[in-house]
Amino acid sequence: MPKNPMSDAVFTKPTIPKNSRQLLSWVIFEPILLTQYSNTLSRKEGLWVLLKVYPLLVTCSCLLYLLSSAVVVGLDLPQLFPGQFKTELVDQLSDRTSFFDGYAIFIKKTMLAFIIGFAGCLILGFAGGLTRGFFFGIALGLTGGVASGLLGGVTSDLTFGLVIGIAFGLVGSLIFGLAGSLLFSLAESFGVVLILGFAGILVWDLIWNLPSSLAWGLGFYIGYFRLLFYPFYYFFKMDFYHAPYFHDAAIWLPIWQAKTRLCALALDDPETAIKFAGFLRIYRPLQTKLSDTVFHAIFAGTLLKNPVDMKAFELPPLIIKNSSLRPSNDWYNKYKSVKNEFSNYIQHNNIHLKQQSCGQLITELNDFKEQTSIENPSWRGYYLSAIEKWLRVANEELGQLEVQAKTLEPITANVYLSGDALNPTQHKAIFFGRNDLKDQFARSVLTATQMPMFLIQGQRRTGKTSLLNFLEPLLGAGFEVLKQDLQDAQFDSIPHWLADLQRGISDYLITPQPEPSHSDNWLHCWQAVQACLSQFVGGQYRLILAFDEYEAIHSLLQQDPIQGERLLAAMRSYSQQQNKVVFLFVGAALFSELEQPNWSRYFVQVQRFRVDYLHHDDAIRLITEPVNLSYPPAVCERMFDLTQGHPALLQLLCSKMVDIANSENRKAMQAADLDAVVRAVSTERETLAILIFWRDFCADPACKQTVKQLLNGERVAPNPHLYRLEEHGFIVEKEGRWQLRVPLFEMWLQRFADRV
Amino acid sequence: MSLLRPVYTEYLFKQLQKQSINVYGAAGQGRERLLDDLKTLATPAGIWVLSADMKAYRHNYTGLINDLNHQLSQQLASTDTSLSLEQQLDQHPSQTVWILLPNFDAILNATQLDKQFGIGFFNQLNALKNRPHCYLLCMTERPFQQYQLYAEQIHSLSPLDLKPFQLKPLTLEECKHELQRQDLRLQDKHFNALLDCIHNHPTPYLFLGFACDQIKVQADQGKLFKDRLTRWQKQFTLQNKRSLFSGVDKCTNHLKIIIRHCKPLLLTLTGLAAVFTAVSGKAQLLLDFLMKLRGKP
Repeated sequence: MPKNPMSDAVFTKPTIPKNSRQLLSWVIFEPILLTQYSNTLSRKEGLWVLLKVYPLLVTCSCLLYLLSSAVVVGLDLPQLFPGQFKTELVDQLSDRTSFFDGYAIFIKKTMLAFIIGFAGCLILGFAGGLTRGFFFGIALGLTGGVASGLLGGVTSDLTFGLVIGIAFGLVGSLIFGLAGSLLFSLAESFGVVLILGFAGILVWDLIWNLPSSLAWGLGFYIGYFRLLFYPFYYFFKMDFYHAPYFHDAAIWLPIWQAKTRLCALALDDPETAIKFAGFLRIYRPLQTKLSDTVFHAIFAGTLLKNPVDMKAFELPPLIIKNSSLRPSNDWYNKYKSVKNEFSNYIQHNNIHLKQQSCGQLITELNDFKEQTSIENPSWRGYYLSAIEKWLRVANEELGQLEVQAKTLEPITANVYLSGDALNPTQHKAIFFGRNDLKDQFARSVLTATQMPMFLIQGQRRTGKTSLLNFLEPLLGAGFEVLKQDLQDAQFDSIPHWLADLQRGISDYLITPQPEPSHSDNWLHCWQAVQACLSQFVGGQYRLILAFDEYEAIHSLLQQDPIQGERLLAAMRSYSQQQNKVVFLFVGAALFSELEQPNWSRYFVQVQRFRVDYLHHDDAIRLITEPVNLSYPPAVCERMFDLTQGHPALLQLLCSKMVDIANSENRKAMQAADLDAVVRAVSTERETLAILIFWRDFCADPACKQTVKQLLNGERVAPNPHLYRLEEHGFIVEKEGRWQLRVPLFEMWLQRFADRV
Repeated sequence: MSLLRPVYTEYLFKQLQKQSINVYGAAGQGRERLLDDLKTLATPAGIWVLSADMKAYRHNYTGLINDLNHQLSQQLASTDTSLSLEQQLDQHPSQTVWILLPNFDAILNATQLDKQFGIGFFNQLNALKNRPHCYLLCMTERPFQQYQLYAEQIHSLSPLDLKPFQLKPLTLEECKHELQRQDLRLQDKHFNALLDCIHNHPTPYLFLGFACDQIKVQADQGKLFKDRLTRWQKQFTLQNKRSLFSGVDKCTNHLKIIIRHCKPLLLTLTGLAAVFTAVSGKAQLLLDFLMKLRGKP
């Protein structure tokens, strides 16, 4: 929607009055702006401004006097209410021949009283300005002028008391009202005003008499609560550009239906409503409740306008000042859960995962709805209608996803994931095995007399990161895992890495922590991390600090091997001195393969857990259990034989088999399908699991040469590369000869060994 | 031409290539548009589509058959009008053919229709759908199995085996895309208000068309958009109220259906009453005779 600069200008107020007329209007309607303006003036400047306003004040007062006199004479009030006027005046007016005649008599008789009264107020105002400041002076001057103008020749106690009461009330509300409302709640302010008014009645009674004092009291309350202006508020259009709140900062009492109407508009147009609510927050402190309720309507309106859309969460955080209108912590938490679940939902590309996430989103929305239904009734209705809409649209999307899944995967969902690590929230169905590793790890941690370093080592793409992701649920209560992923080589130095580690630990501990050290002295940086870790008391559980793709740390340590050795020594020392924090390194390299610094020298007592390929039974379960396909046993065995249970390759084969089933619309898989899949995988250059082996593990040409000799069936003389291949599980000895362990590796290498 | 329901149309497109189906859904959800979208997908896939509105042909069985024949002849570019539908299909046994029949419920739960729309017609449909590569789509308001055929006698329709697929109400996303295609050049807030109105309307697709027409002709231009929307909703409701005659027609049909259902029961009751009367007469005579025997009056 294009911005409307003319309309949007109403949401800001000037800091300096344009002219004397505006200044006078600020006295009645914008006391905050007037106070802020007067604070910018020195005493001399304030008095000068006051004097500049006086001519306008005099003019207005005189006009008011002349007008009120015309009304009195025109309506013949002295004849109707002779008791309210001086006897002499009443007698003279009774003899008048025309209106102008009577008017002239009235003016002649009352002018002096008016001049004296008004002059007195002006002087009082000026004195007030000298002693108490510009604001006080102008407030007194204006109200005094208005009162004098109205009173004129009236002598009645009642009328006098009423008008003076109104004047006092107005002045009181301007000077004390807003300040009081900021210090006290509205109810408390109301009580204070009642007491003030009552006190004023008593004082006025001492000065004048009882009827006058009662009239004074009535006038005071009318003036203080500005009841005179209330009827005029209903002439304003109640919307975000014309509401009476723009024109009067001192609206005390609620305007009937204003909140309902403005909140309904906010639901329809939250973008404009937020400007209006911001205006109320800044310029209208008496309208905190209204602004809070409108903010609720804005938030709900944004949700309503953007169902199942990230735009719904683009507003700044909801801040409610009034404690009675503030949502509970549970409500905020549920809102956050919905937001997080929605972020997860939109990130998924996989249809199956998207469906799961959508289902989870619907669950979170239902929880949010339940929580909202027990919140404050003055605002919960706005959110409930928005949540209903979100539920409706989310269910529509779920329906669409189900149809889409049936179209793309009519036989069975393709749940296999080749390439990315598995996680416990989404991939429980395809995570098999590893229980032996988990048991060994738990036993080692719990029974160690001196805590060793742990290493989870295995070939690339065999599921080390997946195991790490599942470690916490696998280990159960008693362990918490804090993982640092070093995969993307995002750190360029050891201090950078340690600072990130410290931040991760601080976030985990939740308590405020000192800023990480970025010193060039690595030991200082490590000591900061250690200090942070020392706050971890542990209690019933142990903290596992896991470093995934830990070889990246070694690359950084090589920048300064001497400092690197000292750092490793410090880490070892810390690990041995306590048993609550466990260091776990995850990667493909063995410690003995990392030199300068030499890891195996410092981490002598390392416990290595080798992540190998899946066992036969786990591999067969991975093929058959997650999907609704029918595999002949021979096909499953052949899949295992070809991959030897290599997780990534097995997932790849299974995924391609599911694709065939869905595209040909059948559940029964055949050997010919597997042949086609194997042909595709072994002739695909980008079969990552094998490509990474050839490019990274066999980076050394001599290693490549050894592998080529094995492929040709030659007898290979013992050499370091052969031992390394064997140690990492890439080759096996069969019938006295070494050969590649995984037949699919062989097939791929036969084609691509010389090309890549 | 963009699809109104891209996901669902794609899904039905695939389903209709392996089985005959019954698509059912409330009026005003874009049923005819769905069929048009299916035709759009069928043409590049080389599928022949024959379509006939059963509402137009419910009193004219011959007209229906001729129309289908004519459409098939056009696809075949054949001038021989003597061949029947089946004979023409026999000439191209491997060609996939769809027969789309919207408003199929016009001949179901109805007593006033061409008498040839009897069990024979459904057997004919069955035969067609059982041919390889020939698939039927019958569109109704309710699932097919809930209807009955009022031919020579009352029939349920189980012999015609169609897999039911529900046409769900238009989603917010579908309404939004369709509105965006109309290029109405509305302000965001007006667009959102119109979208909301359409999404919540009981017949969203029909109302969408109506509202878009109103906007294009700039109807009620001087009023607030919100008021224009309210006015158009009222106009649309008035426009779609059924005429008196169709109401009377419907009542007559219902009455006839009730009578047909009650006829067997009435006949049975009449028979029972006759038997009872006869028996009671005889019984009375027997009682009188027994009393005389006993010497009592």
